Amino acid sequence: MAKQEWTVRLVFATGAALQEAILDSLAGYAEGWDGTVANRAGGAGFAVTVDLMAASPVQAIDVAIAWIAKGVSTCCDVTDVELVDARACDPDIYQAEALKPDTPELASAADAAVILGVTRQRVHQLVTEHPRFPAPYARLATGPIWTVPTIEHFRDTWDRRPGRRPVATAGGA
Amino acid sequence: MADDINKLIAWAKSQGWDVQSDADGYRRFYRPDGTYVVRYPATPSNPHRRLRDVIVEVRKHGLEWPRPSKAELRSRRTNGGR
Repeated sequence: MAKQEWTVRLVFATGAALQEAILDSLAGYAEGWDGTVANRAGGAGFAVTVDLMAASPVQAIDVAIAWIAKGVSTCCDVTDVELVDARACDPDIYQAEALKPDTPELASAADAAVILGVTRQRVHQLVTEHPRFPAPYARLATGPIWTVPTIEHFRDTWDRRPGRRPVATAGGA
Repeated sequence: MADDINKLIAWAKSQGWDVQSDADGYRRFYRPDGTYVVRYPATPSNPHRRLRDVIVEVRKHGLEWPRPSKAELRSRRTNGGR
């Protein structure tokens, strides 16, 4: 099987939080492979990321584990190390996920008005009168905000009939 | 690339993080509670990937990653997607 590049991220738990000097020592070792070492989020330990060539993601993880095990034994005096997470994926996928924003694209009433092609006042009217107008993502002191996809979906499915509605007359006359 | 790491540093600082430069030129990222997270080398051999790794790690430690502003998206379109 032909080798290809993989981004491998391993997370190791340790019995006690690692001192910054130990993390630096591991990072120095990892930089020999152009890798990155970080403090583990959510518990004691560390995370290692490295890009390497291997025939499969499983093989990439095996190579990375062997490599970091050597680093741990030579660079620092940490014995209670346990692998708790391992991932290998295509570097482009890893990059795309790394830069994916945490927050959705948001729209104020003014933004929604632009998307819908109506006035801001009409947006507020739709909020109170239209049964299918999306509920706001959040309500701020400045007013409600929505996610852009929900407003766009409403626009695309809105049975829009411009013009004045016929006035209902009393008694049907 | 230097611009990208500087943008990340500015964003992290604006969110209460501390980023220090040490004697060896590493940029060291600390959470708002003072916990050390990760370092970025002075001259990484692959700056794009090291920046990517730092972004992943600071996000794991709670730094929200924002959407690019509308002005930034406009600028990227003008500059051919960069």
